[in-house]
Amino acid sequence: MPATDEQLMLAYAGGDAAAFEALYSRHKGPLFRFVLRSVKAPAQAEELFQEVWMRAIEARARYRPEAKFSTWLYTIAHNRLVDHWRAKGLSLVSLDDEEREVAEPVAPPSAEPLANLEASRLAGRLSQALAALPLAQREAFLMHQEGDLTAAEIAAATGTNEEAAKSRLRYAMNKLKEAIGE
Amino acid sequence: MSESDGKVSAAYRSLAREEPPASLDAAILAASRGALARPSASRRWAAPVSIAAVLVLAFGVTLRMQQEKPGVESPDMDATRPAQRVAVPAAPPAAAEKFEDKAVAEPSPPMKQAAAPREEARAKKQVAPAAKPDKVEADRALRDEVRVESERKDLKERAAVSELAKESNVASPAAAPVPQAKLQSREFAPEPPASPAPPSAAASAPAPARLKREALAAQAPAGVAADAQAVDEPTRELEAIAKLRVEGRHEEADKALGEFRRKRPDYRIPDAMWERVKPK
Repeated sequence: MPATDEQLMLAYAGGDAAAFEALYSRHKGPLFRFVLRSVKAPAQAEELFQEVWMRAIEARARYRPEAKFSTWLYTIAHNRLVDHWRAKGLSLVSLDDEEREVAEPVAPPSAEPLANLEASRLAGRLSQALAALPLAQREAFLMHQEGDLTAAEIAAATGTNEEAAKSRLRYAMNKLKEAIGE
Repeated sequence: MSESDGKVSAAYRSLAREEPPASLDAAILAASRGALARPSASRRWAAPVSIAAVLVLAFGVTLRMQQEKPGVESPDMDATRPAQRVAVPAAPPAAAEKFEDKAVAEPSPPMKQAAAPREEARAKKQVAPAAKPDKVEADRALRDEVRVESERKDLKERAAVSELAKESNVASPAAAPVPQAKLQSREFAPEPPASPAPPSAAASAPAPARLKREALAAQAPAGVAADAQAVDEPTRELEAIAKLRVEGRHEEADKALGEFRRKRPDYRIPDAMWERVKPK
């Protein structure tokens, strides 16, 4: 039976480098996409992504397995993003505002067969709608999709209550459904 | 999840599945290995801080004893004759009357009442045999403080009953722990002069007091108040950074803020505090 994230993190804190490699391998893709779709530029995303992992590495001795590892990791990511947004003049309160810090929409794949053209257009619309979401709603959606976090875990990671997290998720879903014609 | 929610998820998953570049992977994994090669900051500092804490506590207790109980140490109070102090409350009524005959102001009941706190103090000393090693110093200081208080009351009566105390040889089981406490107190307290503590000891108090606070703060995670201290510590650190901002020491503040973030990546800085500590 493969080790859980929590076991791997504790093992790493105890000195097992291979445990971290396994953990990193599991979470690097989802976390990267979370950060990438939260900020404007890919170069910025790479820098923030690296910083999140550096902080997790340095804080390994403070990790407590009472919280899920992914919740802890996304809490660190959220805090780093908040610092990034604050540097741009945003406050925590304004993260729920519309039309702030629009992320760079993810470009749909270019050379697609005709059969997949509609899917490609759909993806394009979704991508643009995602980029247009208020920061807090986009973050909630991405944490749910990439990090597989529940509303309660999103609330814990973002420092809000479960109702607020559910609302943000619901609003995000409704806007994205509208974008893809559902 | 509803069907339409499922379609949104499916559409999302059809987006490009970006991955970090290999160079970034390599850098992060190298950093993870490098971090293990050097001990964490807390481990690096644990031994020196613990030693400093013990030294500061020992110094503090010594200083306090010098300041608070000049002249308390006397030949009457050594380990060989602990029973004599207990003999005062155990004195027979005749002795108490004799005591009164000597024109001492206090009658025997107050003498016994005064002795009761001493008994209680000794009982307390008896009750605490299994103190954790890291509380021994604090317990010792507390015991000494209680003893000092009771001995102050003793001084009033001692003038009149000193003859009686020397002649008595009643043993008491309650006295058993006292010798150790007194021996230990003698370790820390030099022969006290009748005058107050020398100026040099008082003058050096501020620096040890500061070191003691820092050492105690460093020791805090092992103590009962660890959780409360852990809650306050980030706020204190942020307040210190805010103070640097007010003083215009922005470079130090930036460095401290970066260090804070590295140490506490999962700590949420409230907006109001952020306004005070953010980079200018």
